[in-house]
Amino acid sequence: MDIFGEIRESLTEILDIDAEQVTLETYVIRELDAESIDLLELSVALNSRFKVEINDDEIYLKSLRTCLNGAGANGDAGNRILRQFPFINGERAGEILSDLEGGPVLKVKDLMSYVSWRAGKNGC
Amino acid sequence: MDIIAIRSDLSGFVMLDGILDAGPDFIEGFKRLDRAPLYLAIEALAQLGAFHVRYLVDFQKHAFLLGIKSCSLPPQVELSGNCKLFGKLESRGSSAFSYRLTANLEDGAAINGEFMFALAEYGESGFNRDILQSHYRKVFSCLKRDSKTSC
Repeated sequence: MDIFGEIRESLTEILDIDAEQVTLETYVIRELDAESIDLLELSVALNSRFKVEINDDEIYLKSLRTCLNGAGANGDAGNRILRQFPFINGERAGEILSDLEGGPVLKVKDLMSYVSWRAGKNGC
Repeated sequence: MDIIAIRSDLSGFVMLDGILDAGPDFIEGFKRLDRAPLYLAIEALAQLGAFHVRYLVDFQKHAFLLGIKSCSLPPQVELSGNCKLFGKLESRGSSAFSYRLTANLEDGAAINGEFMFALAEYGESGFNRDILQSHYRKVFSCLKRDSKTSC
């Protein structure tokens, strides 16, 4: 199974939802109603499946809004995201910045990016 | 305000008699049971796992049982005898931990389950650092150093 398949299976098991509800563009908190306790369980599941270190603050973008505090409009905000979350690319950082008012921005594809990034660091 | 007193007849409610060994991904302990209902053996396993989580973070955070994903139980209603307890850390995030915890009695009875624990900062939800951090460190040290006396 590929990374997306594994993540989707974890989400469907933990959140008790149908696989069809999970796409790369699905919001984990906004649409799937994942709560903090679910995210704790997801961290353990991802560590078990992929054997990579899972840092909750990073993978769930927990410190996103703190990191953006005081950022100016001159591109500094995007750079802050890229520095704080090295698994996020420039395009995704732009999406995130334009989406902040909608609520928690975390998407399934961010989980995928994190796992891929961590696996790469592990030399997998 | 009304005060409700709960008498468990368990001193300090430490369901462990000793911790024999602990490493980065395992912990081993024991408990002498005397006609103990099954839930007390499960509690002993939960306490063993929670102590290992606290040990991993050097008691800097509070650990609590998040849930039991699965657990097989023996047919007996009550358990008696020396019970060996073993916990193996199977996977973890930065704030959650999954263990395979097993309890084995001399008569062959066994409990085997997947337990999940999580960490919380002291100060959150009434977890008082001044009281709890020193308490758990002291009990852990007591259980490891002198396993023949209750802590």
